[in-house]
Amino acid sequence: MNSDINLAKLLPLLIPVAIIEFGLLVWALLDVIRRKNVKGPKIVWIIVVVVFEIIGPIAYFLFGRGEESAEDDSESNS
Amino acid sequence: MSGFWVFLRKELKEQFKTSKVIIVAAVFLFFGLGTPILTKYTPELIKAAGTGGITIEMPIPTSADSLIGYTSNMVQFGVLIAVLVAMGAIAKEIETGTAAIVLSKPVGRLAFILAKLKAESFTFLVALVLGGLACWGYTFILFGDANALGFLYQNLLFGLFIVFCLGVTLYFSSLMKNQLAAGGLALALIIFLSAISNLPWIGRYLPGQLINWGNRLVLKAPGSSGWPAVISVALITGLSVYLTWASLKKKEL
Repeated sequence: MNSDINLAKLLPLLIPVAIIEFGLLVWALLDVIRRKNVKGPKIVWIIVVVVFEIIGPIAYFLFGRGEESAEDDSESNS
Repeated sequence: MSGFWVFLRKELKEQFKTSKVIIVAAVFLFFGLGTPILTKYTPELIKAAGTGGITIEMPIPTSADSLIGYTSNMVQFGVLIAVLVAMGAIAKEIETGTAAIVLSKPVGRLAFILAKLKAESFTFLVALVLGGLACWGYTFILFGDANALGFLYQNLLFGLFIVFCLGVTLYFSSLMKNQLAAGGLALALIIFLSAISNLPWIGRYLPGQLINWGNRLVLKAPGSSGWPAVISVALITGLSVYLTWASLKKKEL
């Protein structure tokens, strides 16, 4: 398999892309697990976030997060 | 316009509290970094994967392909995200009763609408700057050159296109009780106006011409200027704000 791809040049460029993708995935996963008020079943959101790269975490952040209740706020502040 | 600055501060805080700034910036950055890589390496990837003996003539990608490819991606994803972010801005606040509480105070409805539009435009401005810098930087590294001035103008025109999308979505958000319906109608109108932007005469005044003009500026290609579209899109956005104000004025909150 003949390839002209210069991996040494390409890899450092791919790292920031991977950090954004992985960062959003981890952030969304932690938010689903920690948040008390999630719209819909948590397990469905976990699957969506893990399976659909970029789109899954964005969909969760825009549609899945419920409002933080005053109780949650006071717990996070304490 | 009483209470504008108070509203703007509240809305900007909301953009950070709900992490909208980070989410939108992450999407623009992802495409800003990813598009030049994909543009540069797609021919090599196809060659490496093997074509089963079939000869496929792939044109050598250029820096202009990378910059235009990024804008094309963002016209799809950026517009979709703009609609998703703005569709609940007013409808949700009316539904939950927040708008009634806020507007019962001595503040103007125009200030309420403009603060929302400006705060959301700020979120997209941050994303546009980060995504644009990432795309230009990666294009320069991978291709050795990148038309900075043309790309800057292209991003300014795309920024105006996004503000137009936010304005239209805010109008539908004030009109509809359901935020999904508001988003759907806004998206349908934006797609319709973009689709007919290539028609002769009327097309010169439609939002899609902003993107076409931006592409021509990146390519340094000759063609008519897009100023008529810039003026008409600014006017349509202003009209959207006025209609949102008129719609809120009529509403029992």
